[in-house]
Amino acid sequence: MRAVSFESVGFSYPGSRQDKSSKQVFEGLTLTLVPGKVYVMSGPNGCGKSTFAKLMTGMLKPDSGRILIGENDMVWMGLSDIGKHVGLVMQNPSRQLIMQKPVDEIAFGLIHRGMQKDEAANVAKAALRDYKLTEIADTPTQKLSKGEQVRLAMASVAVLEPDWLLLDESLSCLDGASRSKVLDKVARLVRHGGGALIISHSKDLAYELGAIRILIERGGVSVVV
Amino acid sequence: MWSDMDPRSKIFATLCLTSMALLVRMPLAALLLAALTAAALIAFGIDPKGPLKTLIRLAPAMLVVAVLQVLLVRSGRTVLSAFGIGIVTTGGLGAAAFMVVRVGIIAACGYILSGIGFADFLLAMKSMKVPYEIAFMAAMGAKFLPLLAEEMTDSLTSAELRGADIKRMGIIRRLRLYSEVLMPATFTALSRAEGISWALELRGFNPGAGRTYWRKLEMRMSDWMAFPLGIIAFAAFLLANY
Repeated sequence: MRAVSFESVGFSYPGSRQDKSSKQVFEGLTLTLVPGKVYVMSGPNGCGKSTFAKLMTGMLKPDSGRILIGENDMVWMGLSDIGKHVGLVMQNPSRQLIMQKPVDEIAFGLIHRGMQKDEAANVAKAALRDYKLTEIADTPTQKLSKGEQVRLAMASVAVLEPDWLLLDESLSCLDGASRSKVLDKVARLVRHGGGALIISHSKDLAYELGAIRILIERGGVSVVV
Repeated sequence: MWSDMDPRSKIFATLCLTSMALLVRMPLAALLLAALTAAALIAFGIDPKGPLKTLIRLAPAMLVVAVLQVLLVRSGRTVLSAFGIGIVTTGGLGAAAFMVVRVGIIAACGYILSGIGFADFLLAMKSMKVPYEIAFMAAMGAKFLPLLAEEMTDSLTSAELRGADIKRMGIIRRLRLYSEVLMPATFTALSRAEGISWALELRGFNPGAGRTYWRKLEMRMSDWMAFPLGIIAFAAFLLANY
């Protein structure tokens, strides 16, 4: 399991056609996320939480500084390599569900990682049971409830056994029962040595999980243990 | 210079440019047309870097089509041959070059149109007697294209993070993946359209009802100038090409 390190990372969004000035989000951000721990990141809207998630998954590249997974600079890694270490559940999980059937959705990553179709289907069925999704096994993925979509997205990422699980405000739309199920899975991943970063508006979540809280505010990042 | 021009002038200018792009036959006319489009971009206050970036993004697809045209179009003089078989002809090179110019002009026109605000576009369409429903549909479609693109990017990123190495994937597997990614994006677009139609109706939107507009579009001298300029350019273009 590998740590993720941000070393003096600077990032800004280019200016729009109307407003030419670029928007600086991070400047000199230095932070190390150590596996085996849960981090909860919070901060006001527009402060850069989702940008942090996109940087951590290689969807965005830093303007300056570097992001390391273990000893490897992410800038030299393709998304499929980064995905071996960081699994992402997007803020809107319906955007990441590609396949028609939940079982195919979970098997998708396994097949692309080289597993035989039959074996992948068996693993996917077991994951559906594990994530309490067997009842919706035949429901098209886009017709699932938000909570079911989050659990399915999480299952499809978790079966690939990444070092890190990144939940980008995925808990905000869940009811109590679904939320507990998702947090149980996060806890299990951490028990197995992995790490989790949960982006959330909830200030209490870090206390509830005994997690390390990362506070992002415009202009700075602070870590509260 | 003319960045605050009336949307009708912009629509007319893009109509002229895209029509000429589709009809162009002479290489010199194509170059002049590209220059005219660049001039129009600058005149409308659009930084040419934007359309240029779009073209760079489209470059791989354009390259594939250009290569196919070079290899498949057999007209003109043979430029390159191997074992007595003509591989590249002047006709093929010309077809590829025309395709690149056409795509560039259409992308530039897209940029000019995307600079028109939603309400201004609707007002312009209404003043040109386009049925409101059609104008509204077109405006909504244009408004959500970037969102649709963003959703497809998210889906592709999710696939890549789960091991789908798109860059090294064969063309058949890649096409299959794109078709799979298109499905959730289309579903989301449809459900969003449904949500918007409900929200609009709940707020009393009724395209059939007569209504007044607070904002009025006014044509200024520079706007009126765009029409004879466009007509002269189009006439000169037709004379030069046909």
